[in-house]
This record gives sequence, structure tokens and C-alpha cells, in this order.
Amino acid sequence: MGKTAYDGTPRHLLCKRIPTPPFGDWNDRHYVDYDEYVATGGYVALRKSLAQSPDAVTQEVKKAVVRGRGGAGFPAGVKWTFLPPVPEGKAPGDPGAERYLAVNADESEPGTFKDRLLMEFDPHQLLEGIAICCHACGLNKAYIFIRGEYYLQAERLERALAEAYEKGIFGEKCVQNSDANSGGGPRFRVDCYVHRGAGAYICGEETALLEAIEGKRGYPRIKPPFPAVEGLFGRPTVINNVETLCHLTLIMDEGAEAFMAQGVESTIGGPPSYGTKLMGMSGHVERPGCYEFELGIPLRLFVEEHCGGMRNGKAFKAAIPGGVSMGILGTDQYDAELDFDIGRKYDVLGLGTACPTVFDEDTDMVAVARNISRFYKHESCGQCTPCREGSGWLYQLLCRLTDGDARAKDLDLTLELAESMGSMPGTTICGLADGNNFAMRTIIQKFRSEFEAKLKPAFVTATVGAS
Amino acid sequence: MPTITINGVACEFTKGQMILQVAHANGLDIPSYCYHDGLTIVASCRICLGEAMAPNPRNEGKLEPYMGGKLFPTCQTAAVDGMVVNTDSTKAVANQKAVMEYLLINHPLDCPVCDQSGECLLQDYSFSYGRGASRFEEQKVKQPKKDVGPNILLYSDRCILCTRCVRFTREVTGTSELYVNGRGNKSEIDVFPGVALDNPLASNVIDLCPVGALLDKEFLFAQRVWFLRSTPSIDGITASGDNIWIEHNEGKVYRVKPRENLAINKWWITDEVRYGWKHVHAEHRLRSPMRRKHGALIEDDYKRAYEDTIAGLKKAVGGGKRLALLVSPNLTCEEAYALGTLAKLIDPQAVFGVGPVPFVGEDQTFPPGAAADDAKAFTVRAEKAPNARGVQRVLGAIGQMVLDADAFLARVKEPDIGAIVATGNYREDWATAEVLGAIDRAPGGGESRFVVLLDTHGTPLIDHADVVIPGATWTEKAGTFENAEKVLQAFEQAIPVIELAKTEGQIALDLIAEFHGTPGLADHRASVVIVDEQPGQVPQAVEVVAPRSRLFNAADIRTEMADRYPGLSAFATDVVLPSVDAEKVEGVEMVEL
Amino acid sequence: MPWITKDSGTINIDRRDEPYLNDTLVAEIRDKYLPRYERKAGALLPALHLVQHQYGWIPHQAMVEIAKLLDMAPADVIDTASFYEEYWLKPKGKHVVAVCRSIACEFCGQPELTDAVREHLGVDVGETTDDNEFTIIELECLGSCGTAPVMLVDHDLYENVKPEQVAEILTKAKAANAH
Repeated sequence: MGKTAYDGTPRHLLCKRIPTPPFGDWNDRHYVDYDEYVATGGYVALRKSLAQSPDAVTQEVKKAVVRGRGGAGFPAGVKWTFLPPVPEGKAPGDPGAERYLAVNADESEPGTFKDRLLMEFDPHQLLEGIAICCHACGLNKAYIFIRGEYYLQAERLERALAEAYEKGIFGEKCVQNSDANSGGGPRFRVDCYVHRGAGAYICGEETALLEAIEGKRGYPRIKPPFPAVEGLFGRPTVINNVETLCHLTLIMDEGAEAFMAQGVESTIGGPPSYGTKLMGMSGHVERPGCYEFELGIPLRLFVEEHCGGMRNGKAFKAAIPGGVSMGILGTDQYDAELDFDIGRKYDVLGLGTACPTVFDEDTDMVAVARNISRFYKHESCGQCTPCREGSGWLYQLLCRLTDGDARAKDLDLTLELAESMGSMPGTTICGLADGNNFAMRTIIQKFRSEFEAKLKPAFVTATVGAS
Repeated sequence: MPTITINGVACEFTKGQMILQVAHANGLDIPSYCYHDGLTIVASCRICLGEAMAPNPRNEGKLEPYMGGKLFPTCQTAAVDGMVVNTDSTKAVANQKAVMEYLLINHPLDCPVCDQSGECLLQDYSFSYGRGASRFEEQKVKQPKKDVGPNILLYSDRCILCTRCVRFTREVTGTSELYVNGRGNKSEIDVFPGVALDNPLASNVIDLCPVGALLDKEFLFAQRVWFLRSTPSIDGITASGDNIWIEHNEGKVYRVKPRENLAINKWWITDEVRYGWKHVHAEHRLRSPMRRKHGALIEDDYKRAYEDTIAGLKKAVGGGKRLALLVSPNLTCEEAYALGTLAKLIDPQAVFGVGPVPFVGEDQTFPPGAAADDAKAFTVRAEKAPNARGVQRVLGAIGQMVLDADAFLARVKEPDIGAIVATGNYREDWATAEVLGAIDRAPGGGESRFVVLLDTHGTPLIDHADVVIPGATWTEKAGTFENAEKVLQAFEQAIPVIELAKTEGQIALDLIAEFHGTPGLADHRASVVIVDEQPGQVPQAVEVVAPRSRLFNAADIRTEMADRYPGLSAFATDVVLPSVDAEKVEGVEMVEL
Repeated sequence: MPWITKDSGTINIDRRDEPYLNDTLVAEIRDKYLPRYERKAGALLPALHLVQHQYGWIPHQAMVEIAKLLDMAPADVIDTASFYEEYWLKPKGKHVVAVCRSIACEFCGQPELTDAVREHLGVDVGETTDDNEFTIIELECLGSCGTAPVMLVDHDLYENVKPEQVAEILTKAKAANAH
């Protein structure tokens, strides 16, 4: 049983090689190459993993309850167990036994900037995580799907990959290498490639990401079949976030307990929030940037203690817990703890990427809603009718609300449209519209008076003869 | 058999069927746009959503909310035994109304000038599932009209992005001309610039389009669809035997559409079949009988034409002189029978031949590369006549030997041929040099023969005939065609025969009557003469003049064929009749009359 | 016809004799990218990136060439290419100035930044300067919210940009000879 409340004493940092506050200064950051990575304990976890059976690795990861860092919070180890076994008599990668890992590095959720650090400065940690995952799940090819705008990060990854191929982590040499280092483990070739996206937020949705790797437009797929069974090119596929995979190095190096010793248990009977988390703070604070904390840190503590408080001494008004899809925390929810319980406790969609965007008292919340709705209008793939048409309609409504050109019925309509779209009511294939829904609904509900103040007056009804 | 309850109706199903499919098979209406039986399922229009309770095997099979009570697409969810699905629940209905409203916000609502009006799923579902009024007060996204192919116009702003058309070109034809451009509410269907939607099956996208986005240039503004009547028919252009609807009004064909037949053409027809009926209304259709008088061909009535024909044939045949009969592969089996019977009457040793069978290129299978026996593949036949096999089969059963066109044309040049009865009925001019050189009153200036021509269109061949009798296209008659797969399919008459023309079958029956000495149908309209009638008087005598010839009835002829020739028994048993679902009216029973 | 109709099916795309996919590009796609994917179409995004990197945009003729190389229909290529906004299917300026307009940036000074860029270049968002040097666009989140507002000039990310820095940044970009 872990802690129930944040106490601010993480020992195992994901960013140990990337100076990150509160335990380092981001000005000290530099690219960690293979030699430096190995010199600081790198690739030990991989060797330890390769010495174990794939099943043992999966069990260790499952035990650690490492919940997906991409936003959904689904336990990675459990996800892996959905894979069908490698066909008997075949090794992963044999014809008919191709199995893939798709690494979700499409970090595009507004407010989110964390994976970029992991790729920019310490890419070998990600590559090690990938190799561990491929061993555990019997995957022979890994595609790192990185968003197109991350030019530098893609370059750094390519550089690290070249080193990793050279050193036999991947590619032809990896077969001998696994023998030399472990005396056990897989005897199949694992390849790893960078696949650059090209500017489409929806490709962060796991099945749209697969479509993009296949060279198609990023339309999310209907599930089932789930990617674990029929994923990339119709093969069994694991999809994990960059940060999630990076955590594997700690779990396999020091054991699941080391990971579980950090973070908090659920206080509402849900699954736990173990481990540390990269948290990118943005918005109206004195020192925005990417920090690493244990899960469970209260937002107020994060802002006041670590970010130097609100900018220019203004008062806190609202915050998005981790990407615009999550909805908004109201003025009275400043103490919200940043862990996976947050959705149920504070009427937001969830923790998301745990990268909060904070707004001060001067912020026009109607304009915030308008900005978010523009994002969804722009990024809706256009596949499902409600999201395609509804997101455009919502944006036009929000523009009128912002401009003071709307009446009360428009506000009601905005709420109605928002609430009826998404995969939660079941009206769309993927969850993109749920994000739109949550953002609109929670902003309007938590800041309704601001919206009402901007409405045009209702038609005036003269009362005749009243005294 | 497993059973599912949909909107309160228990429906049996086979494992693997989707809920929507089960509903449709049981006559239940679940609205859908993107779903089509012949295409992959994308579940993107979202109007077919339902709610369900499903038995939970982990809880003693008790009914529990399926998917946690969320709405789910019935088009993409397999039916489960014992499941209870509702697309008429409050939530499902609210979604239907929402989807209808969404689909219409960027739709121009220009129904009065839209060809699809009257057969548009947006209209139908607005009526059945819509909310009646829109709350949309913003700017509509406007998109251009696009000329996407030789036969097809795309009104992008009417499009609802169901992507049926895109999937058709990817999955059925494998040609991938159409694609979705852009994303979100700016998505639009288009073709790659300069690569037109132009494949032999292209125009099926017009039928696939549930709204007025993809329209037929041929049919554009030609007719409101509610004026059209549909007659089930069979492709009269190629040997595929595609099942079609002929849609017509006031005796004029306006368009041809595919009629679903999973065994033959599935849901599709080729553009050739779709647009190949223009000859029906061609200027150069033969409209009146003609006979040769003082060496010149003149229009005359049927009485004289028939008298000339029989007299001429009787005179020319006999004493070692033979009659040669050429039956066109465009005629029906019943007509081949009637003509063959006529020929044998005149000359029991008559020479039979099947008219030239046009071929264009080779059979083409779609998607390219698919095996021809692939159940999903569609084959475009190189053989461009509907009934070569049927004619061959019928003539073969009633005569001794049936020559193919080349052999026939060679044979009729021989001096023992005293008379020729030839039938045309080709879409295009069939009077090639070979045909003209053989079918002639005096080939090569040799001995003269008697030539009767039954044809639909004027060709140089009429100058070679002693009598010309105008025939009818397949749209103007009922009958049976045997397709390339040897399937016998009957079809109905869609429109009346043009002017004074008659079906070749009727002409044959008339000539048989003439041969037997029953007076020919001098006035083929008059059959009853009432005499001694004064105003206010009861007629004292009524003379009914019996029809001097039978009326040609394809079904009766089929029975007769099967009765008379064991080799034609298939016409009593194997002919596939167009099955048209009669509209069921509650409380009214259909009875055999 | 009495209305304006786009001649999609008959339009002639601009063509040049020299292929856009030159030997080097073909070799790179064929030897480096194709072996990575189980199906050829997997190499489509990389191929489009390569063409765009080389020419600054993706002409129709290049899409036809890519389609041929990857055994696809041209429509399949443009279907994908038009979905992703990073691909330029029309020519753009030599340099692209992309200002992030997402949540953190908008509320940390992006409107002023966009104005400064517009003012400096004298064209609006979505437009290209007359000398064909710069095209301004606005993008959704660039993943650098902690340093808002940010803008991407070609491949370089500028963080915490003040309106008064715009002139210097753009002058520097113009001097560099990137696409």
C-alpha cells in the first residue's frame, strides 16, 4: 500500500539525465548520447529484462500499475496482456507473425509538452523502454510516430537510433547482442523507426495513428477489433506513449516496488496513481515549464511552491488539468490533486497529460471556450457526422457568444450540442468530441455567469397596467 | 435459430449478421446513410445508432445494458442471441434528430431544383426522423459543383460525406478515382485533378449516393422522379444479363438503374447498360411496314406487307429452294421460337442461323486482378448481345442445325437459297459488307431470292429486302434472355412499341396466321364490330370478329415451347421471373386471379 | 452550363518534363523507407515529407509520381496528403512563419505576436509576401506551452517571443536559405 497523499519526495526521476525542476535547472539540459546514457546506468534495465522471460517482464510491469501517460491512464501491463500469443513455432517477425509497437509521440494536445523533452534530451531512455516492451510482448518492429512539427526531436531520435543500431540494441546486431549481454531472452530481430506525422492532432488517437503509419488519412478505426488483436497492417500491435515506455527503465531496473513507492493510492476506491509524472505548466504563472513530480501533487502547491505563484501576483481563476480535452477546474478547485482520481473528484474528464494550463483572474473564460472550440473544429477528422458538423457549429456559436452577439437560447444550444457528441454518449467513433464536450460543458457550467453577462438581452416584454 | 428483438419485433438471424442487416431483412426500418450491403462498413454517419440490453454470460445470461447503455452503431454491431435492441428509444430518437439536424446545417436545402428530390434519403429521413426545424443560424460551408467524369456531376455542397462513392471506387472497381479532400467540415469528395471518374462501372456511384450530390448528367433536369414508372427488366445490351429497372414516363425511357440480384449483377450495372438504351428513341427507328412495289420500297399497311411476305415466301421456297432464317441475338427466346416455327411451316428444312454477335475487347473483371470466379468481383462482358445463347438453344431444339453468323452468311450465298427472313434489332448498324453481300435479293447479280427483313433501325440492308417489317427493342416487349452464365431471365415490357412497329414475336405469329389463310390482321386494332346500332336501340346483332392472330404473350409462348419440345422444358421450370416485392397493404391479401 | 463548375475530371495539372522524384529521391524512398513497412503505402508520409523538403511543396505531378512508385492511385495519395496540414499542396513562400494559436499561447500574447508578424510582413495570415519570401500561418499547439507564445519559422522554434523580436527573427530567417 502506497501513500495516500503527496509528500514531495521522489527518489526515482524519469528526468534524471534531463535537469528538470524542482530537482534541477532546465538550463543545464543537454543531449545525452549513448556513452553518457550507459555511463549513468542506461541499458541496465534492458539487460535485466532480457535475462527474464517475456512473461515475467509483463508481470512486473502489470504489477507496477504503470498507467498510460498519454492521457487515458490505462495500465500498460494490462494492455500488453490483450495480445494474442506469438503463433507456435514462429518467432516474432516471421512471415505471418509480424507484431508491432507503435510509440505515440504525437504530443499535440494543447497545453501538453513533456514527451518532447524525453525525446530531445534523453532519447536512449525511450529506446530502452521500446526494446523492453518489444521483448516483453514479442514485437519485432517499433514505429515512433512523432508529430511533424517536432523537427529537432525527430533528428535527435534518429541520431540516438543510429547509435542504438550501432551498439546492437536494434537491427541485425540485436540478436547477438541479446545473447552476449543476457545469456537468455529473445532471439529475434527488433527494428525501430521514426515515422513523422504531418500536422493532424487526431493522429494521437491510437487507431488514427496506425492509419497514419499505413499511409492513410488519420480516421480513427472502429473498435473492436482492438489494435492488440488487429492493429498496424492488421497485425497484433501495442500502442504506448513515450513517457509510459520511459518508465519501464525504472520498473525493470529497480523493480515494480520502486515505481510504486512513488505517487499515491486512490482515495476514492479507484486504481492507484503510482510513479512520477512529467508535468508541463503553462499559462499565467511566474515560472511555467516542464516539471517532474510524484502523482498526487495538488495544483495549488505546484503553482505556489514551484512555479513562483500566479504571474504578476494575480489571483487564480481556472486551470485545465492536462490538455484542453480534459475540461476545466473552477476557481474553487485550485486544490485539486493531480492524479488519476481527478476526473471523478472534480468533474473533469481526467488527468489527461497532467500538463496544467492556468488562467488568472483577468482571463475571459468565454474566449477560452472559443479558443478550445476552434481547436476542435480545426482538428475534427470529419468522419462522424456529429463531430464534423457539430464542432463547426459550436465554434460559430462560441464566436457569437464571445462577440456578445448571442442570446440565451444560443447558450443552451451550445450546451446541448456539446453534450450530445462523443464516444461517451456513443455518437462518435473516437473520443475527440468527448474532449470538445467536456471542455465546453465544464467551462459553461463552472463559469456560466461570464457567459450570461455577454448575452444580448432577451426581447423586452413590456408589462402593461402593472403598478 | 438465434433470435434478436429489434424495436419489439423478434427477428431470427444467422451468426455474423449485423443488427441493421437483420432489421432490414425483417422489413424493419433503421435509418442509415453510410451503410451499404455491397461496401465495407465505416459506421460514420451515426444515424443508425441504437441502445440495447444484452444477456451477460457472466451473470447467468441476465439482460444488462449493452456497452454500458451507450448508443452504438447497429450497422457495425453483430446481432447476439437474446439481445433486445431499440432504435426507437428516447436516446436513439434524439440522436436521429441530432444527426439529421447536423447533416442539414451545411446542406443547401435546394430540393426544388435537385434531381434527387423524391428519392432522397435526406428528405425521407427528415420526414421520418428529423426535427422539422433547424436551429442553425450561422454561415453554411459552401462548396463548388464539380465535373468529375463524363457522366457524372458532383454537387459537393449537397454531400453528406457518407463516402459510399469513395468506397465503391476503392472496393468494387478498384480504380480509386474518388477521394476525400481535406478534413473536418471542410472535407469534400473530389477526383485527382484531371483523372476523371471514368470506368465501366462509374455511374453506379450516382445510385449509391443517398442524396443529390452525385448526379447523372444524362438525367440532369430531365424529369422529376415521381413521374417515373419502373419496370423490372434485363440488360438488353450485353450478355451479362444484368438485372435492371427501366424508368419511363409517357412511353419514353428516362433512365436505367440496377436491380439487385446477388447472383448476377449484385447491386451494380455497367455504364454501357445504363446508357445503352438511346437507340430505343433513335430518329432512324423503323416505324411502318414497307414493301417493294415496282422495284421501289414504299411504306404500306400490315395487310399488304403480310400478304406480300407469305406469298413471296411460298413462291420462293420449294422445288429444291430453301428458306433461310437469321435470328438476331438481340431477340428473345420466345421470339426465336415463334420465328423458327414460322420458318418450319414454310420450309421444314429451313436453314437456321444466329445473327452476328458483337464483341468489344475482352471480358474485364473488377477490381482489376480479381479472379473471375471471385464472389465479390464484377465482370464486364465483351459480348454485346443479350441472348445469343437463348436463340441458339431455342433454334437448336426446333431445327436440325443452327449456323453461326459467318456460316449462315456463307450458306445463303449458295444458289439453293430461295428466300431469307432476317432479323436485326441491333443498337448499331449491323449491315457490314459481309451482311450486305449475303443478305440480298440477288447476291452478286445472281439468281433472285425473296428477302424479308424484320428490323428496328434503318440500315442499308433495307434496300436489299422485298418486305421490311418494323420490330421492337427489348424495352418494348416481354420475353426471356439467356445470359453468358446460361441463366434464363424473363423481363417485362416497359414502354409501348413505337408507332406502327410490332414485336418480332407478334410479327411471327401474325405471319403464321397469314400462312394458315386466316386473314391477316388488316386492322390490327379492330376486333369487335357492332352492327345495326341506332341511338337508343338495343343492338340486334353483334358480330365478334375473332382475333385473326394470337396476341403474342411471352409467358404463354414459354409454356407452349416447353410443351412441344422436350429440349425446351427449361422454359417451364428454370426461367427466373423478375421478383418485385409487392407493396404489402395491411388487411389486403394477394390472390391468384 | 449556367453555373460555375470546377472541372475536376478534365483539368490539366501543371507538368514539367523533369520528374520531381529524381533518382536520389526514388532511391531514398525505395531503399530506406519501403523496407520499413509491410505495405508500400506505409512509405507515403515519408515520401511526401521528402518531396516537400526538396521543393517546399508537393505539386500534383509529384503526387502522381509517388503514386506510381508506391502502387497507389493518385487519388489515394492526395486523399492522405490533403488530410495533413503540414503538407503544402500549393506553392508557399520560401519561409513559413507559423504562429501557435492554441490555448496557452493565445492567453500569453499570441494575438499581439501575430499582429507584429502581419505588420512586419505586410500580409495577412494565410498569405504570402509579394517577394515570395514569407507565408504566415497560424497553427494549433506546437507543444511548447511553457514558453508561450511560440512560433515556428521553418524548422526553428522561437520561444517566449515578444512582438519587438519579430523583425530580428524574420530578418535572420530570410538570410538563411531554408525552405
